[in-house]
Amino acid sequence: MSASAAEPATVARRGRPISWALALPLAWVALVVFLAITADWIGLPDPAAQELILRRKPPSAEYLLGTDNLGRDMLSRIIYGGRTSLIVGICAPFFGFLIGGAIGMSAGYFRGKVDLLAVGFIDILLAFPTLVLALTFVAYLGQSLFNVTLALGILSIPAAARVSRANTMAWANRDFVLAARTIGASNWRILTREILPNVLPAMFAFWLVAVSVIIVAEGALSFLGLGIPAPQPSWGGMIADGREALDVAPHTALIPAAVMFLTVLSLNFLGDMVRNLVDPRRSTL
Amino acid sequence: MSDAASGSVNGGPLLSVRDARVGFSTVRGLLRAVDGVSFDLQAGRTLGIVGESGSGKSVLVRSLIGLVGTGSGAIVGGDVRLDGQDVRGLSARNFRQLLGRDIGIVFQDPMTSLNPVMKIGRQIGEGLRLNRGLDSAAAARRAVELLVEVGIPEPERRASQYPHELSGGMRQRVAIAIAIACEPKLLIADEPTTALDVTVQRQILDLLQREQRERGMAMILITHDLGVAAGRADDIMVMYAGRAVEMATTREIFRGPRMPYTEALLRSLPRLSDATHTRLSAIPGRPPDLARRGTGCSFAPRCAYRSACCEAEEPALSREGGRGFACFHPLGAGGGTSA
Repeated sequence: MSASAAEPATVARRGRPISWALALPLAWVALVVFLAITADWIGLPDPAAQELILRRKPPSAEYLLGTDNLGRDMLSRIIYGGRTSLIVGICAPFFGFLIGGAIGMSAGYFRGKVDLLAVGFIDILLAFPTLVLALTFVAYLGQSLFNVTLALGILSIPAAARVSRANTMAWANRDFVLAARTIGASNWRILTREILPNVLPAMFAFWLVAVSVIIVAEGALSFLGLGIPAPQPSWGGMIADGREALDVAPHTALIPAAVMFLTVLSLNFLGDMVRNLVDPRRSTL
Repeated sequence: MSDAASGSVNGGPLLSVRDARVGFSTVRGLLRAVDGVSFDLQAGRTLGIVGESGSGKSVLVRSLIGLVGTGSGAIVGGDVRLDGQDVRGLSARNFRQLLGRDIGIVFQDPMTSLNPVMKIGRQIGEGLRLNRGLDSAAAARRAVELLVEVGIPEPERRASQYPHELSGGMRQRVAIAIAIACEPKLLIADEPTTALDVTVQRQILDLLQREQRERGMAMILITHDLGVAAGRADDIMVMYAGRAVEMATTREIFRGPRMPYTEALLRSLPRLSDATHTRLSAIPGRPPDLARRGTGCSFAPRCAYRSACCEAEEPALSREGGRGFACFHPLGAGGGTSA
């Protein structure tokens, strides 16, 4: 009987018609992720195979997205490039959020000296011009997928730390945290069991936005020639390559740019959507 | 049945507090939120701590159980003994154990005192798993039993729900279930009904009183409402500006307060015997600034009976029989002086 009483509330919350603003970005991101995962098995031509006679061909039936300056298949390069962008875009903020989240949560929970140290550290990181720091890092350690990911991951630490610190502070003073202490819970237990699950939704929403920021940052690094090393395609690198022929074959730069634009836009839309869902003003009720 | 069911060792009080102090350093100087409060609480008895907002009643009790954050720059002093054991001298680990086993606390607002992303049953079982070593299945069973005990219908279903699916009154019942899960010797109720509908308030107070009696727990009931404390507390401590200004049994307080502040509080309560449309008297003025305390009695500026000595010197808490009051001009010798 009361199961049916609870039902209308559920329907009201979930039964909203799926809006295009949610469906389209979700579909696009799903497509990019799907292709990036299955790239090896869907019969794509080798993204590095050159066919110099067929260079700078516009999109056609044979080459769906045309060919680039060296006659390589653009579709294949876009998809393999998407794999690179996603690996960097997902892993770098994940790494940054793991470390930044730990720093921010400790700072927000323990306050006092821990907070002072953490905020100082974050401010120092923030004071560096981000892209210059990444450039220096990659130039010094050498260009590789791992180093680029690491560099961009470090760049996302301060933002992650700030978000988690602010969220932790908001939750740490709630009575349920005090209540947990009065039942004898340790700090570690309170942080991981009481506070973390509450901070996580906001962190996830922010992480989605961070993914898009990192994809752009990786593109910028590649564009400047310090991204993923040459034969391996990446969106930023493709834009950089295509720039040379912008007047004769604009598609070589515009297609990767459009794909990156759509992906970043979709991720931002999704991030906003998730953020609205976990809005603290609603979650308290 | 007001007998001390779970008698303490050596027959002393269950909780003994001497000269408790809590100060916060602010930009305007040291704010003395609690300024030398002492009291004893016998096992199985209920102490009502009454005072207006900012009188230090919550801070006092929270400081006793280590909930006044050290990170907030609080300076905590005084001697606290639970069952004769020095609480302040315990290691962090032992103190957590003591909190978990011997003390339960119910907060004011059940909206914030439950974790919004943890199921009810789990929240109740958490303490049992931590302190009683129950496995999750046993803790879950006990959680359902506790839900029954605090009067929640359909306990199995409720146990698997989240706090936002429950009403305020039900949430407070859940909070009580969490507080009593580990059979504490001392239950602290910090304004447990302030955030609730008037109709629910009484039910929650009845529930607290019933649990307290059946389990022989001692209870500290913090409230700003003398009416709430009236029928529930054995003893009442009235706090004003961080100090205990009157301490007596509930009967004595209501029969004849000695401290003018207590009298003023009583007169601001509606009484059934009053004629209709009788104006309730308000206490003029405002509580003092705790960071700029003068030399005299802190209630003097608002007191109808003040004299020169009140402003020159702080009255100490004087004892007379079983009761205490801090006033140079105590009201009547026990008789009704509700002038």
